[in-house]
Amino acid sequence: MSEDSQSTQPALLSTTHSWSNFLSHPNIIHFIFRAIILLTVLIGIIKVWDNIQTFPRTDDAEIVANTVGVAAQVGGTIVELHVVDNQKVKRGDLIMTLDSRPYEAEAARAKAKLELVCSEVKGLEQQIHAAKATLRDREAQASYAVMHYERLKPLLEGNFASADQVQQAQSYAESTTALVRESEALVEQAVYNLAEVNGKNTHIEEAEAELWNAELHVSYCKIYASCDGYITNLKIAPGSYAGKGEQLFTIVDSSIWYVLANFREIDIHHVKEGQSARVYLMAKRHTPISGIVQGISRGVFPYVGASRNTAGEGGVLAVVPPTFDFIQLATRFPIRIVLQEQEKGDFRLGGKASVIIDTRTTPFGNQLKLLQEPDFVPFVPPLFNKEKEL
Amino acid sequence: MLAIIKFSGDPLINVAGAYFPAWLACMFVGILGTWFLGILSHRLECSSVLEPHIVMIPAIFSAITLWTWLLFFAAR
Repeated sequence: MSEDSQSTQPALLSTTHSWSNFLSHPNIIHFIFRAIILLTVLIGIIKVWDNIQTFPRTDDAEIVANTVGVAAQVGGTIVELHVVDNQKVKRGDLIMTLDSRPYEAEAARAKAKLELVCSEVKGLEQQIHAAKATLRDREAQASYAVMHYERLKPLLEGNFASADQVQQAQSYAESTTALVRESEALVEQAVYNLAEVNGKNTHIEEAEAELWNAELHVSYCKIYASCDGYITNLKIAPGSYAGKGEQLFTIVDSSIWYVLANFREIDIHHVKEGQSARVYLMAKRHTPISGIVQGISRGVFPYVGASRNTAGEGGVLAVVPPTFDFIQLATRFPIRIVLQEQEKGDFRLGGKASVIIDTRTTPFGNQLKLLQEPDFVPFVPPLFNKEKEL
Repeated sequence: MLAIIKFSGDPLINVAGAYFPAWLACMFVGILGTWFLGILSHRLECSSVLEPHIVMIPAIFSAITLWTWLLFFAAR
């Protein structure tokens, strides 16, 4: 055994020795090796630069979704709460019910008022009829008095009638004519009192509007989900008082998810709307999710540092600090990326993500056009609809 | 190290809950690779091939770092 090892060792040593001789000898091999290394570095730099330019990327991105703050439109005690925190809800689901009794009483009062107003309007219509009847009566009297005066007037010349009779007939004619004018005014006043505009009575319309408003308040006591999403930050229980306009909790709209990826201003030259993006969620890092660039922000709040001019004294004069940051950092603008493949990801608002944008093509132009069309179908609570139909 | 890169699958590398950027990991690979090459050249008694050190050591480090990034993290 020892002989074997003695015989192989010199052979191995001699091989290593010859290699090291070959490599350590300052010949063309050294030069080629160095040249290859430097060339590799150069090609590497060019390829990395090209890759970063073609595929701008950022680790500073977060998932966002639209949020709907749920607030009561009328104040009241919460009597029923149909959801729990983090529950998934669909558009139109009943979330909670407020104590509607005060508003129902108000609606009943408004309904009674409407009936009263209808009755009053009938009275006003009768007043018009009465005023018109009086007018007709006075017109008849005036007509007779004027004719009587016209007949008496020629008789004065032949002394067939006394001057007193003629004057009496004249004053009576004038008096009855004046009464006609008064009746005409009374008829007009009665018509104004009835207040009908374009065939509709404004008293009734006002009362109807009040009833509608009261019924609306009753309907506001039932609060519905206005979008598909998740109940978030629910920290109330039945019995809590919901103030008018006071936000109680939030629904995170799950119909569309975005990623807001902050890119430095030097990296966004080639980014266009509709380009495809690959999004890696930190929560689910091994599954890239495709997205569409919806748009690049047109403005961010400028960095308020020592080198920025800020308005002071109510904006009259600029405040320029005496110091200056000589190292300027690129501003980063958020790029909004709409996530496709929503079933792949477990999205949570505020979750971290990293984004790579493919600036070579714009394959999602058509989808982007659809995304940018606003949704013109407003959410109308179901009860609201039912009452309107009634 | 390769296993970390292989299984990270995205530009962020998770090490015990902290996320490191890929380029940092590539630089780490670059340092290890340069160190390994240095030892190898010493063993083979051909360390003169890495001279001048001031140029060649950073060049080898850069080459390993850049190509690790290109192989594992470049977008395609």
